[in-house]
Amino acid sequence: MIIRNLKKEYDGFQLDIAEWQINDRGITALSGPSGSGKTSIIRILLGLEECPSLSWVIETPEGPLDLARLPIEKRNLAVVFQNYELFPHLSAGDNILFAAQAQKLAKDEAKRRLKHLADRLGIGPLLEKKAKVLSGGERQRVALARALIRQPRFLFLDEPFSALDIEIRKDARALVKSIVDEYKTPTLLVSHDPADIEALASQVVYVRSGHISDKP
Amino acid sequence: MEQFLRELNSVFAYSLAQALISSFLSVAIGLFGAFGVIGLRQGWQRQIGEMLLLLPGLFPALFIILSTLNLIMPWTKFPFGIEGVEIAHVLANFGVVAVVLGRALESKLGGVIEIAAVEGASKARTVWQCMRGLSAESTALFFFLFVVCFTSFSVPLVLGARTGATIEVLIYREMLKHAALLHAALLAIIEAAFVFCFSMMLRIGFSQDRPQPRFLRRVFLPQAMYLTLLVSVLIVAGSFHGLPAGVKMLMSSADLRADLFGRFLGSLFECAAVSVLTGAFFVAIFFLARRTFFDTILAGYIAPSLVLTGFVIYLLVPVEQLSTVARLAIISFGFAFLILPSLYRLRGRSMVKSLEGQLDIARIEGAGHWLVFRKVVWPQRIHDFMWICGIAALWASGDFAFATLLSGHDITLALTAQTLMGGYRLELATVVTWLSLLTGGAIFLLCRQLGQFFESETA
Repeated sequence: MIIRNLKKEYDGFQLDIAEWQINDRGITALSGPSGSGKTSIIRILLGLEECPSLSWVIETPEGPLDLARLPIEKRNLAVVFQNYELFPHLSAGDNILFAAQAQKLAKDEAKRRLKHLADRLGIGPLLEKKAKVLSGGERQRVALARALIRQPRFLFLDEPFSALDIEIRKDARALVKSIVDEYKTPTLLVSHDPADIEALASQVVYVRSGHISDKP
Repeated sequence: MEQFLRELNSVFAYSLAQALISSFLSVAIGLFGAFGVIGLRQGWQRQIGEMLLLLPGLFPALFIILSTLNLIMPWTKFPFGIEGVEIAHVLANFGVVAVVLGRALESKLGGVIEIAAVEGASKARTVWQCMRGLSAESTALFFFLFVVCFTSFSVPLVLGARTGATIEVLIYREMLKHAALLHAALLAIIEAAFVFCFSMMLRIGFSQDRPQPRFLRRVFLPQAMYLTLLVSVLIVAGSFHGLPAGVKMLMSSADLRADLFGRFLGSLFECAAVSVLTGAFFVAIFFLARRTFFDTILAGYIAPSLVLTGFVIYLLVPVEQLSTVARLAIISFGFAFLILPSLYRLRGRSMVKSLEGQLDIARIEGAGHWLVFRKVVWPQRIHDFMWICGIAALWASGDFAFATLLSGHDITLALTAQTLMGGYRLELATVVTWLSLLTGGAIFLLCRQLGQFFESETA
């Protein structure tokens, strides 16, 4: 998939990506120092920030489709943010099913997918618990299940391990890799931790002062 | 036209002076008071103290007008005009400033106070440094209050006389005397343009740096606490002055009671309707608030001109031919529309911002507005919704300024209170004002109860 003209000016900072080819399979890592523009790139691609010049063309069975021309709700993207942003008043199960409901997935199909994800991610016993009482690792797994239940076109992982204790990061990385591989969802991982990149990424892109490059 | 321009010139100059003095004094006294607020212990002592300070600012203008008159008139001639307006504005606002700056002092300047303590700085020097540290917040509050005082209508309408008029009052006079819509619109544009110049200036940021309470004691000024609380107690006490005599008058006249009952129903209707409409407006805001321009408009300072809004409605709707209930419904709609920016700034914006991340996620997941509102916003923010509806009812209970433009005659308790104040019948005005505030207070409590009920239902 090709991203073109990702250009935006902020206060004293300019994001300027003329063309960027991302693998349409596996995990691509986007790395760079704080303030280099990583999060802004994700927010623009998700549609949370406007970028009129952007073009993001993907191949579909119906032909090429420019995701940037679609409203945010129709892009069928998914994201796991650093703080996971679960709905704290809902149970873990309802958090995951919310995404299915948003996509108007049939109830039976949603339940089938939920069961599969719950088994794969080991969150079956957590489904009835309110999100606000879950631990960091549990939240991460629920957020991942929520992102994948819709089988999105593209998944963004924004520093997904930074809120976890160092001891559980290794297992978390392995779990994320295996589930992303299983679902064959092209993924952009944003991280400045070399261990994340080494464990997960098949391609690495570096961002510095708003520009991308293949070299660190 | 020449006379109009002369009048505009004079009103603009008086208005500017009044707003500058009112906001400067409010901030100066409030800043001093902030060093007293921090001495109030957390818990019930703090809650009661802050409530006393916030009450004059949170209650409708009717409350502060009555209280100011009651505090001064028994002793001396009331200084109607620019001084009277300034007194009422300062009394209404200094408490809010004290509470806001007190909280900023606690959350922002912990580090400064700790370092000053370690370095052995004197108390006076530490207090001075803290005052300087609060300069951004103080300046922002000054500009905010400047706009509030510059565009004030209720207070100058009753206490302003010739020198205390604001542009809003001038619009009112132009429309009332000459039905000069063009002049009124021109005045509203001038006012809005002037206010716009200040619209970018309020950006208060509070850090989460909480200091140890023992260090806060180093900048606590007991005199500030006693003085600010004493003035607040006097304001509240002033609103009760003449109450027994007023009640006696009321009890001795069956006709008066019958009259007031009708107006009580009018007030009840207005409070309830404003509450419901505000709730509806806020639901709409949550559907639209994702648009940045919408947030900018609501959080900005350019509220619609109260008087002009009233007269535009007056020109568009044949209010004179309408029944009292229909008139009340129109007044309620207009009032709910006018208080929307204030309520949004007071609570609405934080409601939107606190859910920002979750709303982003919901949109990315493809959720529609209704699903987001039903599943994400309503269950988490129902308490705030009902609080806003309650406050809207409380404000509506004291509305005489807007209602007077469309009512034709006294159809609510607040309008009656204004008429009584105009005739210097302060005892009876006190009773009617309190009846009015109690009506709004009852709806406020009802909203709070409903909020708790809905919250438990959705839990």
